[in-house]
Amino acid sequence: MNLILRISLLIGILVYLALVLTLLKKKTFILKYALIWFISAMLLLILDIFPGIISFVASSLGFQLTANAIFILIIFFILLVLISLTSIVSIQHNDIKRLVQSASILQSEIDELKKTYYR
Amino acid sequence: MKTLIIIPAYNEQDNIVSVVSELKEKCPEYDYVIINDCSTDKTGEILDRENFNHIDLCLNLGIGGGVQTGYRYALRNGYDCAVQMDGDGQHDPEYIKDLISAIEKDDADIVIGSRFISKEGFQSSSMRRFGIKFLSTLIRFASGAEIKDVTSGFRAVNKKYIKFYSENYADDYPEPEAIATASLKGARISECPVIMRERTGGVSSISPFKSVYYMLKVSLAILFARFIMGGDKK
Repeated sequence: MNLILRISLLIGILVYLALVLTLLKKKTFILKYALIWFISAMLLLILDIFPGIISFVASSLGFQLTANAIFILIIFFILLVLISLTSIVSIQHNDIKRLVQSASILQSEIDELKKTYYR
Repeated sequence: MKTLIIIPAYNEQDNIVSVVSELKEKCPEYDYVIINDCSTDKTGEILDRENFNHIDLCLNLGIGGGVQTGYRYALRNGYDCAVQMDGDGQHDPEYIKDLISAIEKDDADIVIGSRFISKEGFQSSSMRRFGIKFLSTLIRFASGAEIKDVTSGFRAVNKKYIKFYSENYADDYPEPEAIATASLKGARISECPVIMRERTGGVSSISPFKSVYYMLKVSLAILFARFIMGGDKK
């Protein structure tokens, strides 16, 4: 990989890292979910500094071009992230449903109490 | 000084009655609240039957969410001091007055009940002690707080930090991180020797596998707390 490309990618990764850290600092991201982005940024950094790793893996697996291997890797990564997000959303869906039920039941009990209290 | 004892409880049907009875007997002057973290066993029924002051969470939030509920309750009801105490009987209410004395005198904002000062009583396994020592060192570097027993859930907190914790408290394995974040906010944190007992009934919520995840997660959280809250103590 030529040097200009590697340096551009390095800058790109650092901007990405800065974004993740800023979102963390603003509390827009919580640490638990920010970790995957932070770790992936670190991994990309390592691959950028040592491009030999990805070339080796690509040729061992039989890829014609290293770029293809990189794309496949990133696609797998994105798929995993999407799957985990689906799981998080599902859990939150159930939690919200339960909260709605609890709040509604509480409200109806309060209404009942008010009726008796204000008789 | 209006004091509240916060007792988080998840599936403690075997212990909760003796824990609360002992508390009422040894320390009748303090208020208490049990946070029932959506227990699946008979804990909820027992709390209703015995008429213990409690809050039933409609969803399981974990120890962090549970204890934070206690802090929010303490804030809403104007308590000057809150003491966290485990629901499994490991903590002896005998020591509560020691924990709160420094807070009464305003010598400290937070007091941690430590097993490792007088080194008596239940000391837990050597693996755990090594992990605790590591976290203790990390917390000292990241936040300046010099605490030996960083995982102790037996701790007293003053009014200012009741408010802080009611807004900032980690969901899982919160105890060490809570020391770091409070210290970064400027809290004076001290330690006080206590003797802890071994768990009498029920199962601990931390298994050996979870311990590794615990160490990683807590260490990262402490480092991020340092990054997010900066090094400027007020």
